[in-house]
Amino acid sequence: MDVDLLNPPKFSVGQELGSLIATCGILTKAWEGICSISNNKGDSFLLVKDEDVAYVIFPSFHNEDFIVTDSKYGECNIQNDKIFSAGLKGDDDNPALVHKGALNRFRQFLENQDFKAKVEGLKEQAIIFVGHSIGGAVAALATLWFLEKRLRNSNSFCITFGAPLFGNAIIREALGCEDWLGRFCHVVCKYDIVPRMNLAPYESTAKPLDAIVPHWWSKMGIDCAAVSHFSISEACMALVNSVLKCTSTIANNYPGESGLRSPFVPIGTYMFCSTHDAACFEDSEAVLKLLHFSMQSQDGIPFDQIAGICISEHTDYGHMLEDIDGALLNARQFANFVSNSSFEIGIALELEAIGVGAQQDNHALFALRKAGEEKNEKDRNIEKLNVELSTNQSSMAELEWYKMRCKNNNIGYYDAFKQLVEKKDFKVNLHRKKLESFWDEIVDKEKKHVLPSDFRTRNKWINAGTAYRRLVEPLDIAYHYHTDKGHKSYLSDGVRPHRHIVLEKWMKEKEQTRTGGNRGRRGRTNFASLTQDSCFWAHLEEACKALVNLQQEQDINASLQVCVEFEKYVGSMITDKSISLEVFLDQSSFMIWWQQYSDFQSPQWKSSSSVFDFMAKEGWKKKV
Amino acid sequence: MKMVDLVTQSIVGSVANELLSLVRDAIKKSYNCKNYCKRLEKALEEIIPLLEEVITTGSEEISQLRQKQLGDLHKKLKDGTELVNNCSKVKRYNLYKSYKFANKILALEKYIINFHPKQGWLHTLCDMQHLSVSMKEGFEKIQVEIATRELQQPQLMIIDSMSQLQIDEEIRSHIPQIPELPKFPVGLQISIDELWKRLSPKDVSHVAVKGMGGSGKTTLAIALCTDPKIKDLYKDRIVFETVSQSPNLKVTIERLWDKIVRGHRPDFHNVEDAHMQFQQRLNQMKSRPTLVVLDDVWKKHHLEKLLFKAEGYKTVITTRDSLVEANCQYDLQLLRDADALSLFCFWTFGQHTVSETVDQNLVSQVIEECKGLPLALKVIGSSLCDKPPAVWRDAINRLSQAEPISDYHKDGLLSCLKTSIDILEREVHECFLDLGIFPEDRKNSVAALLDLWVYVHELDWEAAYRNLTELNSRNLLSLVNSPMDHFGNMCGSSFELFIQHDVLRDLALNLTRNEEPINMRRRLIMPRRENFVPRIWKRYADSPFNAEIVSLHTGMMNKEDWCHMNFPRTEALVLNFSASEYCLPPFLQTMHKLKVLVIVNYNSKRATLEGLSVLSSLSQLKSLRLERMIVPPLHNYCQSWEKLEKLSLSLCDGSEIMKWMQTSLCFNLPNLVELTIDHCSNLEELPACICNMTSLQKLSVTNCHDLYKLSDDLGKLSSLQMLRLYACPCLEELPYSICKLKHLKFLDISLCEYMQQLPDEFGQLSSLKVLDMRECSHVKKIPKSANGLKSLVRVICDEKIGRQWTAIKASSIPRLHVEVAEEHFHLDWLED
Repeated sequence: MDVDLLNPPKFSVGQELGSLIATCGILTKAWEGICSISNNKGDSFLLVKDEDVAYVIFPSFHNEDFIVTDSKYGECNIQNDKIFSAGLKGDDDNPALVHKGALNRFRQFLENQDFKAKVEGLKEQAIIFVGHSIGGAVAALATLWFLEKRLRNSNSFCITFGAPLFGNAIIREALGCEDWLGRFCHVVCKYDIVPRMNLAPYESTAKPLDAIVPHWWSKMGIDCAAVSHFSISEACMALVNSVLKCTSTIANNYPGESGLRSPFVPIGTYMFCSTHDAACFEDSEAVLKLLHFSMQSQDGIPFDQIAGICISEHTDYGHMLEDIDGALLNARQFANFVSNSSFEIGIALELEAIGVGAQQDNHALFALRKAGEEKNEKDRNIEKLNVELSTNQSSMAELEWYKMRCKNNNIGYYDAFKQLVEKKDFKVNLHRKKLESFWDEIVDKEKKHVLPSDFRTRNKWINAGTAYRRLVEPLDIAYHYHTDKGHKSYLSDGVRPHRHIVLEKWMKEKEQTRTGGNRGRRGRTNFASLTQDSCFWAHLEEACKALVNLQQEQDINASLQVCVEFEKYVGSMITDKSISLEVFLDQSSFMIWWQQYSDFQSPQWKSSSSVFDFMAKEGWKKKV
Repeated sequence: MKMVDLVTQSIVGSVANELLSLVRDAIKKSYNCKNYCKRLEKALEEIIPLLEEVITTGSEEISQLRQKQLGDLHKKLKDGTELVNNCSKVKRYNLYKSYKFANKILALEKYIINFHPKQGWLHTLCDMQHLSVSMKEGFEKIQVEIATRELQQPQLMIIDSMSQLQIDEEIRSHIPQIPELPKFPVGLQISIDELWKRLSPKDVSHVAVKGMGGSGKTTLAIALCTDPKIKDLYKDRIVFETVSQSPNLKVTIERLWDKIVRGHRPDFHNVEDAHMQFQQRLNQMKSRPTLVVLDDVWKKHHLEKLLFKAEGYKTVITTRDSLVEANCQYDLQLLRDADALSLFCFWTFGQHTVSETVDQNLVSQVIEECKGLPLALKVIGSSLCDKPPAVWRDAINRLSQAEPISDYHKDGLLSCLKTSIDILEREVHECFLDLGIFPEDRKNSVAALLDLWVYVHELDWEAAYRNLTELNSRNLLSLVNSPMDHFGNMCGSSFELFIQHDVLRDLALNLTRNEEPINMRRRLIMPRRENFVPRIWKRYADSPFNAEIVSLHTGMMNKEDWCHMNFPRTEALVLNFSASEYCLPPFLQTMHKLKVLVIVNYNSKRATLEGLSVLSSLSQLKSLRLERMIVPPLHNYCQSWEKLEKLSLSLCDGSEIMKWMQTSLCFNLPNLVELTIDHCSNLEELPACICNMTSLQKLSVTNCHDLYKLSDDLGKLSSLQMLRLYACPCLEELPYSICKLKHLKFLDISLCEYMQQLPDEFGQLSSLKVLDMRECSHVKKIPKSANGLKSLVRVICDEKIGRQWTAIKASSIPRLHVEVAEEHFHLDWLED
C-alpha cells in the first residue's frame, strides 16, 4: 500500500459555510423578492438592484410546470435546443437532460425580448438569479444560460429555495469541467418535499400534487380555489410515501441498480437547513443520500405529522431563515462526537446542524466521509501529477534540443527520428516512451474520475498536453511508419493513440470556450515552430504512398485525390501560418514528396496552385 | 623620556597647525597686516609637513639639545598664535599698532624660516649617526640569532625595518623571477578565475592544474602569478619553481626557503631533513599569504616533498598526471574555437584575424587539426608563417597523415608530447601505440580496446583495465562516462567509450611509423580515411607483412578494390569504413592467427556486408564486433569459430538477428562468453537459440526498443553472471525462468519504462550482488521473496521503490546498500 494514500483529509467546513450564508443577508433579501413577486401574481420576473448586486427573481411556480406526460421523471433532452452550447449537451449516448417544466418556462422568458434585453443590459458586478420551487429550477437554467455567455465583467450566481433537481449527471459534469458548480446554491429545508420530488417517477406523484399545488398557492398568497383540508393531508401522505420509497432505494443501494434511478442529480452546493442551523454540501452523491436521511425523523415525530411538515416547509422558508438567524445569534451547538480528526468532527457538526445527528453507524456520516476522502484523493492525485509533470518537462526540453539539433543538420526531427540509426534517436525514443506512459496515465485517471472535475479545462494541463502532443506525436507517427506496421495508415481507426485523440479534444473544447464570445482570434503573424496539426506527418506519409501508387499507375483516381487533398491541406496551413517551416528543410520528406509531385503534375497546375506559388518564391527560406 | 619627546613634538605640530589656521583667518580679517600674514602663512605651510613627519616617524630618541631647540620653536610658534590673534583684532585705522604687529610677524617669520637651514642639517647628520649605530646593532643581533638558533624569537625578521629591507634586497638580487607571460595569451581570464575559485577557500592548501602537454598549464600558472588581483594579495610572496622530470628536490626546497623564510638557511642533510625543517620554520613564522607555483611536476613522490602546510600558504601545481585528489584538481580545458583562431593567427600572421591573402578554408582546416591545443597552434602556426598555399596544402595533408610538417613541428610539439609517453612503462607504452588504430574524432568502444590488449598483447583483464585507467589519468585518452553510469564489465568499469586528442593520436601514429620498412612494422595503420588501400602498402604486397595489428579506414569497397596481401602474423584487424555496402577484404584468408576482428561503419545508414566467405577461415577468432550493419547470416560461417568468446552487435538491424538465429539450428559457439546486442532496432524477441549457449557468462541486450519478450528458456544459461537489459522500454516482464540463474551476480533492468513487475520467485537468485532498476516506474512492488537475496549488496533504484528496499534491508539484508539515483538531465547524448 502506498503510504501517500493513507493521509486522511484534514477539514470539513460545511457547517461554518452554512451559518455564514444563512446570516449574511443575501438569502433573506432573495426570499423577500420571491414573496413580493408572488403577491403580484406574476408571469413576469422581477429585477431588484441593491448595492451593485442585481437580483433576477423568477416567480415561484405554475401548476402546469409540474405536469409531464412524455417522460418518466419529467426530464427532457436539450440536444436540439439552441439555448445552450454544444459543450453542455453531451453526446447521443449520454445526452444532457433537464427539468422539462422549468425549461419550457425559461424558454418563455427568453422569447419575451424584454427579459433578454434587461438581463443582458445589467451593469452590476454581480447578478444573482433567484427562484423558489420550480422557479428555482428556472433560475438555475437561467444562470447556466448566462454563464455560457462568458461575459468577463459580470459574476453570476444562483440561489434557489426548495427547487426540484434540474439536471442530470452530464450537466453536472459539464459544469464541473468549467468549475461552475460553486455558483449554484440550493437552500433546502430539512423536510421540504420538492427537492426530492423528481427522484420519484412522475406518475407516482401526479395525483397528490394536483391537490397540493393549489394549497401551496394559497400559502404563498396566490388566489386559487379552496381545497378541503382532509384531501390535502391524504395527498400529503401519498406524496411523501412514494417519494420516500424512491429516496430510500437510492440511499441504501449503491450504483448497481442505477437503471431504475431517476436521471436527476443534485448539481451545485446544497444548503440544508434545520430550525436552528444550516450546513453546506458539495458532493453530489452525498447530497443525494442526505436528501433521504434528512427527511427521516430524529425527534420521534409520527409519520403523518412529518408528511404535513414536508408539505408545509416548502412554503415556509421565510420563517426558517428567521429561526436560524435567531438560533445562531443565541447559541452554539457542539458536536456530540469524539474524534481526533478535525475532519470527522467537522462532519459531525454538519450533521448536527441539519438535524440528522452523527451516530457512529450513521449512513449519512459514511456518505460524507466517503465524499471527503474522494475529494482528498483527487487533490492528492493532482498534486502528484504536478510533480511528475515538472520532471517530464525536462524530457520535453531534451526533445526540443534534439529538434533544434536536427534542424541545424538540415533535416527535420521527424525524418531524423524515423531513421532510428543514431544513438541519440534511441535516446529520444526513451523519452518518447516515458512521456507516453505519463500521458496515458493522465488520460486514464481523468476517465476514471479520480482527478478534480475541472481538470481538463485547467489551462496548465491543456497547454502542457497540447505542447506534448504537438512535439511528440510526430515522433509517434515516425515510429509507426518506421516499423512494418507502416503499411496501415496512422489515420485509420484504432491506430492513433487514444491519448492524442483525448488531448486534442480537450484542447478544442477549451478553445471553443476561449473564443466563446464574438472575440475571434487574431491570426498568426509568424509560422509556427511546431506544426499546429500534430497529425501532419501522417497525412504526408499517406500522400507519399498515394504518390507511389500514382507513379506505378495503380488506383489513379483515388491516389490523385489524396495528393490533391493533401496539397490543399498544406496550402491552407501555409495561409494561416500554422505549419512549421521545418517541414521545408532540404532533406525533409515533404520536400521529396513535393519534388516528385510537382514533376508529376501538369504545367497548368503550376499556375493555379497556391502552394507552388509559395514554394517558388522561396522568401520563406530565410526564415527557416 | 621618549614619551616626553613625543608629547613635545606633537605639541609643536599642533601649535603650528593652529597658528596656520589663525594666520589664514587673519588674512581675511586684518587689512593692515595682510601682506605680512601672507608671508607668515607661506613659511608655516613649509614647516608644518616637516614637523609632522618628525612626529610620525619619531620613534628614535632625541637628544637634549634638539629637545631644547624644538621646545624653542614651539614657544615661538605659540607666541605667534597670540600675535596673530591680536593682530586680527587691530582696527583698521590704528596705524601704529599695525606697524608694531607687522614687525613682530616679520620677526616670527624670520625665525621660522631660519630654523631649518641653521639647525636642520645638524639634525640630519645626527639622525644618520643614530641610524648607522642601530643598523650595526641589528646585524649583530641577527648573527647572534642565527648562531644560537634561538627558535623562540620568531620576530627575527622584523627587528628593524631598515635592516629587513636590506636583507630583502640582498636576497632578491638572486631570486629567479616569475617567468614572463608568453607573447599572446588568449582565453586565460576564465581559467584564472576558475582556478582562483578552487584555490581561494581557506581550507584549500593546493590545487593541481592538469592537462596534456602543450595545453597551456604553465602559461596559466604564470598568468595567475601576474594577475593584478593575486599580485595585490600576495605582493612579493609569490614563488615560481619549475620542478620538471628529474628535479633536485633539496635545491628546490633551499630556494623556497630563501624566497619564503628569507633568513639564514641551515645546511640540510637530505631532502627529508629539508622538508621537515622548512615545515617547522613555516609553523613558527607569522603567517602571511604566500603563493608557490610548482611547475611541471611529474611524480607523486616529488610533489610530496614540496607540499607544505601553513596558514595562508598555497601551492599551485602544474602536471600532466593525476597526482592529487580529484577535488584539488583543475582540469585545464582546451581552447575554444574563437580563441584557437586568434592564437593561430597571431603566430602565423602576427595579427588577431586571418590575413586576407590566405585562403580561409586552409586556415580552418589546419586549426581543425590542432584541436584547440595551444602548443600545437603555436608550433604549427609559426611553421606556416609566410608560406605559400602549396605548403599549406602539403601541411594539411601531412597533418592528416600524422606526419610532422616541419622540424619545428617535430621538435617543438611532438617531442614535447613525447615526454609524456617516454615515462610510461613498456607495457603501457605499447598500449598507447595501439590507440592510433581507431579513427580520429570518434568516440570509440572501450571494450574493443580492452579486447585488443587482452587477446593480442595477452594481458589479463585486470592489467588491461589498469593500463586503461593509467592512460586516462595521464590524460593520454579520456574515458567518457556513459550517460547512465551503468556498471560495465566484470572489472567494474562504468565506461563504455573513450576519446583521444588528435594530436596524441598523431603522436602514436608517428611513433609506430619509426619502425621502417612498412612490411616490418608491428602496426600497420591507415591514419585517415582514404578511398583505397594506400599505394605504398601495395608496393610491398609481394612479401608478407609483419604486422600484428592492422587497421584500415576506407569508403565503400568492392571486391576488385582490394589487392592481394599476405598477413601471416596479424592478430587484430580493425576495418573502419563509411559506406552502405562493403566487401570484406579477401586477404582475411591469410590472417590465420586473427583473434580480434572489429568492423565499424560510420555511415548514417546500416551497411550490408559482402564477401563473407572469408569469415569461415578464422579459426582462431576470439572477438568479433560489428557496428551499424545489417547483420549478415553469420551462422553460415561460424562452424570454425570454436574459440570465439565475444560477439558484439551494435546499432544493427535486429530483424536480421532474429532471422539468422531462428533459421539456424546449429548456431553453436561453444566457447562464447559474452554476447552484446546494443542499440538494435526491430529486435522483437530474443531468439531461443541464444539460450542454448550454456557457456555464456555475460549477456547484454540493451537499448533494443522493440524487444518485448525474452525467451522463457533464459534459465538454461547456467553460467550466466551478468544480465543487462537496460533501456528496453517495451519489455514488460522478465521470464520466470530467470530465477533459475544461480550464478547471476549483476542484473540491470534500468530504464525499462514498461516493466511491470519482478518475478515472484526473484528471491531465488542466490548469487545476485548488484541490481540496477532505475526508472522502472511501473514496478510498484518488490516481490516478498526478495528478502531471500542474501548476496545482494547494492541496489540502485528510484526513490519510491527505494523505500521498499530500505525496508527489506532493515528486515533481512543488513549488508544491502540502497542507492537512490537522481535523475540527471543533460544534452551530452546529442553529441553521440
